[in-house]
Amino acid sequence: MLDITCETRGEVLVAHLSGRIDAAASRAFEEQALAWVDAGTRNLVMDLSSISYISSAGLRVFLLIAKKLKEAEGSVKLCALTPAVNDVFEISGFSRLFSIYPTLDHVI
Amino acid sequence: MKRPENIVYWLNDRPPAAIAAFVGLQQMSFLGVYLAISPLFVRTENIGDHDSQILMATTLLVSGVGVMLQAVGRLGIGSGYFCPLQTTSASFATMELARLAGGLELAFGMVGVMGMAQILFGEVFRRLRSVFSVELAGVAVTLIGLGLGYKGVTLLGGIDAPGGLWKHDIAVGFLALAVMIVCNVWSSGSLRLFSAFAGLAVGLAVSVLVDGIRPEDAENYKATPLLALPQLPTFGWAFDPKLVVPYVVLGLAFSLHGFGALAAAQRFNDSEWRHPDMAQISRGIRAEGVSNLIAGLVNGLPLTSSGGAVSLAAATGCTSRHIAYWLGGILIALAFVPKVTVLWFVLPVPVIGAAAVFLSSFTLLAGLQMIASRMLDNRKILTVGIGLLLGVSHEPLKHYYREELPSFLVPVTQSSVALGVAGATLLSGVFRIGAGTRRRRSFVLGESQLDDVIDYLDRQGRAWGARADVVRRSEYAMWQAFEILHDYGFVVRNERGQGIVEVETLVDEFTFTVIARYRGEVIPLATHAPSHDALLESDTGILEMAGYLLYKLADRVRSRALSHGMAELRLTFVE
Repeated sequence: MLDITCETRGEVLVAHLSGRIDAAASRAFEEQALAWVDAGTRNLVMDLSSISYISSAGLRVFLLIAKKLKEAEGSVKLCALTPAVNDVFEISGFSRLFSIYPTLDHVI
Repeated sequence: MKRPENIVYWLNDRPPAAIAAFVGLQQMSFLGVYLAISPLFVRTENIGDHDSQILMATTLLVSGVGVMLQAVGRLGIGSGYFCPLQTTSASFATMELARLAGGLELAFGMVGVMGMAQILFGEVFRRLRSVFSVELAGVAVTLIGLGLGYKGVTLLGGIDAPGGLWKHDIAVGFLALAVMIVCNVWSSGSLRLFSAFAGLAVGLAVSVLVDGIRPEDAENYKATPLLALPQLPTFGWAFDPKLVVPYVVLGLAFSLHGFGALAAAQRFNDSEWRHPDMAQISRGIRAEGVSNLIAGLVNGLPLTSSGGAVSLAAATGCTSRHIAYWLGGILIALAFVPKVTVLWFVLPVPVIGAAAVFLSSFTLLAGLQMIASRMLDNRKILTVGIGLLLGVSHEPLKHYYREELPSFLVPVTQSSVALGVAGATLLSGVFRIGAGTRRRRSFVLGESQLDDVIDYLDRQGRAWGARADVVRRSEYAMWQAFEILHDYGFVVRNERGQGIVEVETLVDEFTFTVIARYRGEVIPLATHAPSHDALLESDTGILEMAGYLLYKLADRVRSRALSHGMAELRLTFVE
């Protein structure tokens, strides 16, 4: 189960994600993310402090978001990764693809 | 094994001679404090001055041999760590029992029996390594810290000071503590190495300058010869089979104490310490046993590994085992110079207390960290909790333990560490009964919630006191494995349309292994992550990434076909 709540801070869309980004949740997450880009969001910050698990399918969505925003000359930043999620980002090499911050306050 | 940041001279480092000599003297100045135990025994047993000096000399000789045996670690004897030996009043009750039965020759002769028992306990402990777990080591080290701290606080406050207080002793004690803290916290390099020595030296100097020396200490000093050749053995030997049990139990108590001190030495020498190395500890207890065998032969007091001295080495940043040879040399040399050894009695008791308070902080925290490094289920919580409670109960209930319990148990109850660790070891052993190292449970794909799998692994981790990060990685990997087993149809459904996955956990002291067995195809593993394009363009990319995550999350991974259409994914996580 994945819950997403959003808030706008200036020109930045802050998405607070909580739960698990597994294969089932990834499909809804992908639709939501593409909707943000289509709606004109160019600066996206994702707060992952309440994410307990990301599977390979979830990683794919992060990669897709990064690609779409790069094409649109935007950016995506991640913050507050839990140790388990941070491990997966390190192992997969995704920690080099994204700007990752310890807390939301560090990003904004 | 990784060098801790605060250690200047590590286990196998060879410090320059001047530093090594000074560190050896510092250790001697701390261990010399325990020489005060010797006159305490002398007073109890009405031993004359001459024999008392010889007793101190023989004890110093055996201490010197013991610390070197411990550090050498050859021929199956000695842990290879710097772990000096010290005397303890915990042996007095048993020795008094023997003296009443057959005189001092029996009391000292039976120390050899105790030494032999310890040599056997070394082997027993090694074979029972599943009982001597991390949390048990944590209990032992915590209790060493608490015992040292309790002694320190009472001595620093001048409570029950042997021989009473002298003028400004308490103020001098607090001054010594301040010097130790300042040297340890706000200095670096050589001064930190000698922070305890600096405190003891300042305490002694200020006491002598301000208050002078007690008349009885001055007389004792004058009457003591500069050099003397110890006459061995002073009291002789005797053996009584009726006393074998109390001395074997005393050997057990000392071995349990040694387990704690040696576990602390391992922990202080390795910032990545995971669990007690029972092979080393077993050799260390054997070295203690051989030392006590020698003590029996030469009529020295029984010795046990000194948690305080191990803490001093860690607190001052020098855990090098080469210090053992310097310290051993100093101890042996001092056995022939009684005039120097009586100087330790000039040191005000609160100054000794200051050293104990200073060192206990390091030991206490190391023990608590050892306990907290593991996930604990109810069995382990009870083992740790009751063990600590028994240890803490030693001081307030000392009289009850001595008077009301069967006499053969007295040796164990005369030390907080032995009492607490004996209780915890007993519980740890009892809780092992019927607790196999293998557990299996079946899950139905799609019906069982992934949370059930995680809960199951979490319970297994707690039951075996696995490290939290190891269990977390195993849960994450199984989560990923279940997801692809479910989504990619690797599992063949049975006649009821269910995909069954049996999850087995295997635990030993070094690894936590999770095995998923199912009827169906083998999960493909990947040694490289897929390209970004592959990950974005197809489901195969996601599967490759899953296989790569499994490969990287576990320390060892194997995915293979079994007979009868079964497949297995085996993930091993190193503790």
